[in-house]
Amino acid sequence: MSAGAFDVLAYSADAQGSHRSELTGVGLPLPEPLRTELGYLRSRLSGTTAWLSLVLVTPTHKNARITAFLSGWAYERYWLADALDALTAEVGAPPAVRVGLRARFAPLVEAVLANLHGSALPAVHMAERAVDGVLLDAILGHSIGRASGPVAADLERLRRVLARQQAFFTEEAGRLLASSARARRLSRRRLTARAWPIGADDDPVRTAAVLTALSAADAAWARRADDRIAELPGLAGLGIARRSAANPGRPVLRTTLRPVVALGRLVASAVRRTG
Amino acid sequence: MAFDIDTFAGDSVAIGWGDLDLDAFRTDPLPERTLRTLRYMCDVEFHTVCYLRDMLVTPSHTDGDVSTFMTMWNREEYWHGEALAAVLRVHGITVEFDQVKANRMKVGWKDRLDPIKQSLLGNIVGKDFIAVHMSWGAANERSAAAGYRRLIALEPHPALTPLLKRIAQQETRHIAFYTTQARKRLEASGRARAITRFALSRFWGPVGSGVMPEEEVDHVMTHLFSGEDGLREVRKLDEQIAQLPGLEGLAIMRDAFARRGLIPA
Ligand SMILES: [Fe+2]
Ligand SMILES: [Fe+2]
Repeated sequence: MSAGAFDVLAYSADAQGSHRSELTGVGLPLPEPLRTELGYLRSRLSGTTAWLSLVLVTPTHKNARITAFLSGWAYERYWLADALDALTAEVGAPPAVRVGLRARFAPLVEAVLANLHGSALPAVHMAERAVDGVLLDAILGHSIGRASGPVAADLERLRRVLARQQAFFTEEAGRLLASSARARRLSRRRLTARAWPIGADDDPVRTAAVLTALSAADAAWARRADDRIAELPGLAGLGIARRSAANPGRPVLRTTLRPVVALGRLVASAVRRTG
Repeated sequence: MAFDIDTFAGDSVAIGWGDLDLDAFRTDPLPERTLRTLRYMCDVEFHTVCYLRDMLVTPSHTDGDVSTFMTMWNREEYWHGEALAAVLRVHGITVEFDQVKANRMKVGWKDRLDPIKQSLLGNIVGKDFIAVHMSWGAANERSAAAGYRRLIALEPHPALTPLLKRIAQQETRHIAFYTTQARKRLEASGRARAITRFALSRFWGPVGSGVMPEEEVDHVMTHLFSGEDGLREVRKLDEQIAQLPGLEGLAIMRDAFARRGLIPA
């Protein structure tokens, strides 16, 4: 597998730390809906360790190019969240993450599944982040539209940091998906089995508020986001943004049979492995 | 020892070496056995993500301070790896992404099962398991810092010495975090003390053992820690770990060396 064009080393060396000294909108009053939206973005940007805990138990952690990128990525996310804290005047430590039983054992489940899905998982993880990036960018774009000049300039600054991260995920997902039909199949399945953006299932009320406001302001946002997602190899027609907007905080596709189907697949792949 | 996580995060930087004249190695190259030790240290630094992984599957990462630390720490360690790779590169030794990858592949099944074991253990034991991770981390960071200190003493060099000093300085900050966390958590719980004592006395080994090939571990430990000065570092590390609540009387590094047959038991 050839390495991509994105220069991971240069990125990691240049990862953006604290933005506080550059922010111009700190202390300016924010309309309440904008505050809510930025608070929501803050939560999505700071949920890096929970996601990493799922990703690193799989073969993705063996991909040194990806883990090198993620070391800079997690660092940048920390400081992006910190910048949003500054703009929304949130002080003190973020609320402790409440971890339900499902979330606690999620890495365990993922580690077990990883042994079955193996090498196709890095593609899924990169695609997850690429899709998430498209959705967060749509939300951030909406925030910028309602913000005053200095705050909007600050948010544009944060958006540039995110755009560079997105370039990596898009390139990496594109390459990995293009090279494996199995990765494309697994990605379609897994991307539609979860709620969007990442973390939305733990935060359904705010997700609904934010996505509803987005759709009210711009009915076409979801179609544009889905068009961007469809540019990834094999991911056309999933309707992730459209379905998430219609049913915020819930998995894109739901079926009462899902657990049965999942069990069937697990057995089938175990049999294939040993057979 | 107070440790302020926000200060730590604000001060966290990727280590730099642009101001150092690495070309000095062309006229004044490092000897073979030092390069072999550096290669080991470089690989271990790049492997930090595996330790991160082990911590993330347990309740540790849900603690806000620990999570912030992990983010900064993982990046700092990654850059320790890059810095050492730059030194090796001047000597014609390339450590590329693909090679690190190949190394991680070799770990094989053990590696596949580890997160499962860690996760089960961590979630069954619950919050007290964080104390194990923090104490384990304190011992790892101390052994890394001791290793760099020894190499600085053994191999004075105009380009190597300042670089290793910068790395060792960051390791000292890591020690401070882990030790503060470990002390707090061990003080708070008798169960945490018992589990940690058991885990460290039974399973701890110098950082890199278990991941790197056995003969490389032996080479590095002999290179850095034999002789009176080396053994003094070993004793110092053991004394410091034994100062943690519930770990009195342990000598984890000496025991690990004895198990490897590097010093008499
Ligand atoms: Fe290090
Ligand atoms: Fe360290």
